[in-house]
Amino acid sequence: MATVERSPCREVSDLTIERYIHNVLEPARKAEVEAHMADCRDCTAKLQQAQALGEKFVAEVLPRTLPAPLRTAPETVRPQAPPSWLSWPRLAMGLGMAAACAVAAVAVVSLAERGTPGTRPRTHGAEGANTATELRSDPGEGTQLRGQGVNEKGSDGWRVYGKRGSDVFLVQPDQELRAGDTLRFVPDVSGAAHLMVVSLEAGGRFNVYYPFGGTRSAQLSTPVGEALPGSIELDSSVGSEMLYLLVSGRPFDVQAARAMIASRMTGGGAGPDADSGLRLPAPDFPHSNSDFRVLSLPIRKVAP
Amino acid sequence: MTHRGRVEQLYREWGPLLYRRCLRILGDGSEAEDAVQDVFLKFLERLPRHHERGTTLNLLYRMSTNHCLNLLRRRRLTPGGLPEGHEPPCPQAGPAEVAGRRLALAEILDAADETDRLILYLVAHDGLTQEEAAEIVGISRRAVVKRIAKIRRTGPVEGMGR
Ligand SMILES: [Zn+2]
Repeated sequence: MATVERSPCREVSDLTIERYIHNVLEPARKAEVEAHMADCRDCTAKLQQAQALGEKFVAEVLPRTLPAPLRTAPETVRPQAPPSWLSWPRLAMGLGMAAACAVAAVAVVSLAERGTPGTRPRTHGAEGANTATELRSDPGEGTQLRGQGVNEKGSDGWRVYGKRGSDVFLVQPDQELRAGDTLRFVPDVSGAAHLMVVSLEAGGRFNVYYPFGGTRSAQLSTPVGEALPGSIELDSSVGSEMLYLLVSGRPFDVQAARAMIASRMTGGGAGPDADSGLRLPAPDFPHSNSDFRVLSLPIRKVAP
Repeated sequence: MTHRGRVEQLYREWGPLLYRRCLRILGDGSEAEDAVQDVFLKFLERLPRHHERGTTLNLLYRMSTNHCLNLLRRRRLTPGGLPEGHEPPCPQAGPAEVAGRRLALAEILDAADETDRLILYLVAHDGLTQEEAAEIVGISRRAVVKRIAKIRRTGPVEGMGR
């Protein structure tokens, strides 16, 4: 890489420098960067400058500015008491229902449609599942698609893949997962969909996994069958957790997502339905719209 | 580990990135320090329990860039706000040289949509590839390409084709 004398080399971007410092570059890219730096004074200087600023931050700025984040620590980082509408017994019921459904080879996919009380989720056999997946599992294994749902029209579904070491597997309902496992989400959703992947932990903690830490849904633009950007790495916490893919024809925000989940937990009179599993009440929240779809998958985080 | 301990650990780990980023965009030490705190507090509010470091880095990069670009927009509205020829303090990050044309920061800040501004800044100013910008914004590369195409149609920005 020739460097032009007058303008500094821009081969290694700020972002790459950060990724290099935090050691999150792919090994091949890391090697490339190192090889470039060996020959480029500009980029080496840039790295050194970044490291020096980091040291300055830790030595001077951090002591001065840490108190503010610490003050808020109790409210923001400690697992919060579950809001009343997300109490554990309700969630346990939700998990129980999903687990019961898993017996039927394909777990429930819930479709909530305001104003169409007749709409019921339906379980699909392997043929329904096949339309939504290109799974490379043993075809003799009838349970391979449990929890990877397909909706009424056969058009929406999702798959959650886990990775442990070099093993990649399709996550099954109530599958036991461990710290360090990473998860990726593959929506099988057609049309101009807006989506969000969230989770609710047994303790009531609500997480937004896609868009990671976001407050608004993202418009689906990955080709069908492709994983959403980013992955989630499980930490060492244990307990049940329900993963949700929320899909809508319109953008929605995290409040609407929470309300949607809440309506599943508290839906008055909604009970297990022997045939279809979960039957949802029409969601009642300001952002509701007629095509809000919710797909869920329970997992269990266990100690190694 | 206590919660305070966890917060401190996170701040120690990611504060330097936020500090570099805010300093780079704002070009002012004390304003950057405030921005670091603000972004970190927002991050704590949103922090999912499970996170993978690369994803966290992308999130913080996005949050800090958005935050600082908003500050610059506000600063611009005050008299004498944005200094003429605003230069980031680090010599490597000059104004974007895009297809032989310098893209003024003001042009980026003019974009009405926050995500458009972010993409413009990342691609035209920081020189990231569309792929990298997509990772930071948290959308697909295709979505980035689409947005850039739209920006091109509505604005004079050139050379966003990488
Ligand atoms: Zn270089």
